[in-house]
Amino acid sequence: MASFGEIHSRSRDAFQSIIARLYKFALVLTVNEELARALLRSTFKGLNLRKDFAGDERDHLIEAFRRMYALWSAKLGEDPNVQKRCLPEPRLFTASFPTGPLAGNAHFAKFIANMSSSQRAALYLVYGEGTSYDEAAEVTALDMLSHMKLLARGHVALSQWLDHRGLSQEYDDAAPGQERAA
Amino acid sequence: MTQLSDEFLLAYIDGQLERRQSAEVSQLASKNVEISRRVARLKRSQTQLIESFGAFAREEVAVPRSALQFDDNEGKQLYREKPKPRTAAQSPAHIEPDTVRKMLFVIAVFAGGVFGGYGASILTGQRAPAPAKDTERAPAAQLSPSSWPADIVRFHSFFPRETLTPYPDAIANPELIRFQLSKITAKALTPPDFSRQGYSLFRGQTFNYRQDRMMQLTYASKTEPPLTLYALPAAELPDSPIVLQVLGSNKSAGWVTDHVRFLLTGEKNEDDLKLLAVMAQSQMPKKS
Repeated sequence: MASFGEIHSRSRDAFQSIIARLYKFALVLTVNEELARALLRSTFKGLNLRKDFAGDERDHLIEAFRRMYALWSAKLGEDPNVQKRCLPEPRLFTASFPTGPLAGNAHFAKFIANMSSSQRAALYLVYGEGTSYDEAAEVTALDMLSHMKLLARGHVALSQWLDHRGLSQEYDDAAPGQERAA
Repeated sequence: MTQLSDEFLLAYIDGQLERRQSAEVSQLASKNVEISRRVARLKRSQTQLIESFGAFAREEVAVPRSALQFDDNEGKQLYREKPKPRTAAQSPAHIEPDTVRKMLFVIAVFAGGVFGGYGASILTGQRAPAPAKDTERAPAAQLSPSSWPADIVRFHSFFPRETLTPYPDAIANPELIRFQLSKITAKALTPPDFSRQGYSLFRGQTFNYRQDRMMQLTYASKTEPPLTLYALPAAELPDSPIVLQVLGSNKSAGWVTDHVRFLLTGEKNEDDLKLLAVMAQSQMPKKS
């Protein structure tokens, strides 16, 4: 049986993990450190009442993503110029794409930064966080078909970008046969 | 099934399809060069996205301490409304004595009301005993599971006929509708085909029904009023035969097959509706 100290420590670790993942999601949404910090603070305030993070971490995380996304959408709704005052910082992604033929590619980071935040969020949730379509649609408050369209448009845009840069063939050679279970 | 949308193919490569649907797409991709090329293209972008966003998600990121400090005076308060500057007249140092007198008067009236009301309730003496509770009454919050067809017919009555009629530019994507139907019912179901009766599937929408999700499939005809089929999960309900129901001007046929509830409704006579329900049932056979 786990001691009180162990339980407390486990709970704290889970909490820390959630905070880090929330911060990354905030960076994905805002592409700006200052905005991401403010968004995390606002989201965290709403979650502060939930003390037992050790219970079902997945549910907490999805709920936290959902709140963060809703906050960001509300902020964009009331202040559409927020991203003009706090400009996107693609460098946040440049250092974080360490593998593959596009590692450190500033243009690719810029391409990601220039996507709409809803599209970036949908793609990150599915391919970064590994959520199911259902969970990602719940976070973005979209019905399933709209969510799938958002993902498909992201794929099409990326394919066109790779073609335009002449990177398609290079990518095919460098990353063979990596796929999800279909 | 060769008119597969990008969305459907994406669901295939992301492993979101039911096993049977996935096998069908695999088979089709192996025979059809065009589909195979589209799948390969989507896989390429999928690989790139998994690598990029996956690396970003796995990366150790130090959360800035300032992100968790709740200092109201700190920097830009991006998620709060900025407090409006007080005018000189509103400043605490400039409150007029007349304002203080008005506030005291309001407080006195409020306190008088509260204490006066309480005193009056004491003076009126003992309350009359409350009538005994009717223990025989069924709890209103507990609706029997068998009431679901009536619920859905009532829900359906909120859709005016014109909202169920397709407009010329309506987009019907049978594959996406099929995907969504399978997600909601957790079965690899294909929407019934009423094309021989002159109906074509033109729209699928999802709604919440209590704790479940519900799919509304609308079929349009050039000569007949639209038909609507509802499908929703029925985890604890046994199979049941087609039952016709009339609620107001709405007629419906409801049944349960393989833990899925179906309800077909439209401006049809009861025999026609039952015939269509039998056809729908035969096209979605129970898995052994």
